[in-house]
Amino acid sequence: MRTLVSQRLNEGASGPVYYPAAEIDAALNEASRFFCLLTLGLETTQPWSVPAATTFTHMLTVFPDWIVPLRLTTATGAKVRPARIAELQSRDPFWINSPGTPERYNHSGCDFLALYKQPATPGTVLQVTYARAPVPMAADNDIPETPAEYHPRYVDYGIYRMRQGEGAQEFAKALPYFNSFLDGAQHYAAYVRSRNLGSRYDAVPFELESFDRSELLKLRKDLVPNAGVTA
Amino acid sequence: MIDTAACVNDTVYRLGFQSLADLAANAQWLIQAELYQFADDAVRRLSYEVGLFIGYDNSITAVAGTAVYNLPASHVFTLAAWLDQQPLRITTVRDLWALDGTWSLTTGLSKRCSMDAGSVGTITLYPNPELGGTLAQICQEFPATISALASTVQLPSVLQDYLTYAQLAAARGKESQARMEEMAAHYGQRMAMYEQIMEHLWGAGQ
Repeated sequence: MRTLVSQRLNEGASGPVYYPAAEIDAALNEASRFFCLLTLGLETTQPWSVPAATTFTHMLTVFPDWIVPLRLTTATGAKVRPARIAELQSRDPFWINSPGTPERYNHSGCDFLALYKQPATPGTVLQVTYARAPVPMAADNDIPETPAEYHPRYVDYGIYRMRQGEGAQEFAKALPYFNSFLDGAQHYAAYVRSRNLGSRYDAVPFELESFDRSELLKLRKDLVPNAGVTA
Repeated sequence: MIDTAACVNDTVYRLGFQSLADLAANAQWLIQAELYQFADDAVRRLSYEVGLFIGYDNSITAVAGTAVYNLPASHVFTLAAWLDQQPLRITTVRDLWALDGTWSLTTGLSKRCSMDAGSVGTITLYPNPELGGTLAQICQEFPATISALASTVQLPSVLQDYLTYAQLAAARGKESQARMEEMAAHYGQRMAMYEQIMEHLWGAGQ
């Protein structure tokens, strides 16, 4: 994939010089992270040994690739349902110290998870399905974990990012590549959203359809050097 | 978990330097510490714009007869509070006056707390507690200062590039020979997009 970006930047024959390989790798990894953030397209289910008598957990300390929870279930398969803090307060004023089998959870902030109720003894294992971050790519033949039909969009993103350093009109020429990347992410996010709703997951991807891209995809001509200067 | 050192390494190249050593040797318009400062500024902004940094704080010990306590230094907003596991209902001082004309003199088992009854940065318990205990809160807070010596911040790794764009936007926007206003504006737009996504996934700030 690195080679593809290099070729599209017209350095394919002689190898990367002006756009070094390490920087192309960084661009592709950025594309991979952003694609997963936009689409929640990578998910995993992992067992979580819930600490005894503990209400609050920062999930990034448990799962370093955490983004958002999609589903929590007990060992018997029962769903631990999401709830707001106010709902937990209404349900049980003493919810932060209520021993028992987990029934509800609250996810606040990027990784703060509160359990109601809290297992009194160790040994309780919850199955946690969550949207995860991608594994970084390092080699030329590494491929993104997302579906292959979207991989050309990563190359587009690589071109867009590599040309940021040039600025002005040269960068403006690369903005359609970013739009192409966003189109791909929007398409896949729509699939993931409908799938997550059908699966009764607790989170859906951001709606790129309702995001106004107009400012993002236009270079402000009034800020470009020599703007307004006529020959 | 994000190590902002990775963002700095990325930013340095994207600003036209070959490495951190090159930045240190040749840059007359930027130093490495500024890049960490830009990331720290962005994270502090996120702490109130977006509800990213939520934590459980039990650092305050309430004592009988004292109603007003200083909030933790990193406190931004309280989402819920308990005194010795007794839930406290967050109440404005206007409602305390409506509830009890001499509320500041009333003593008993605390059932409410107010964020605006005392000075800014304090929490006031009502009634004035007859019994002490741990004052626990779920808070929106801001993380520790980011610097070269303490460069990690507890955020999902997919947000690494938000901090990189924050550094790029600030570096390209500052007054210097390397100023690129059109790119600073674009990087700012990228940050705004990230913030909308964060708000969707993790909630708005208070």
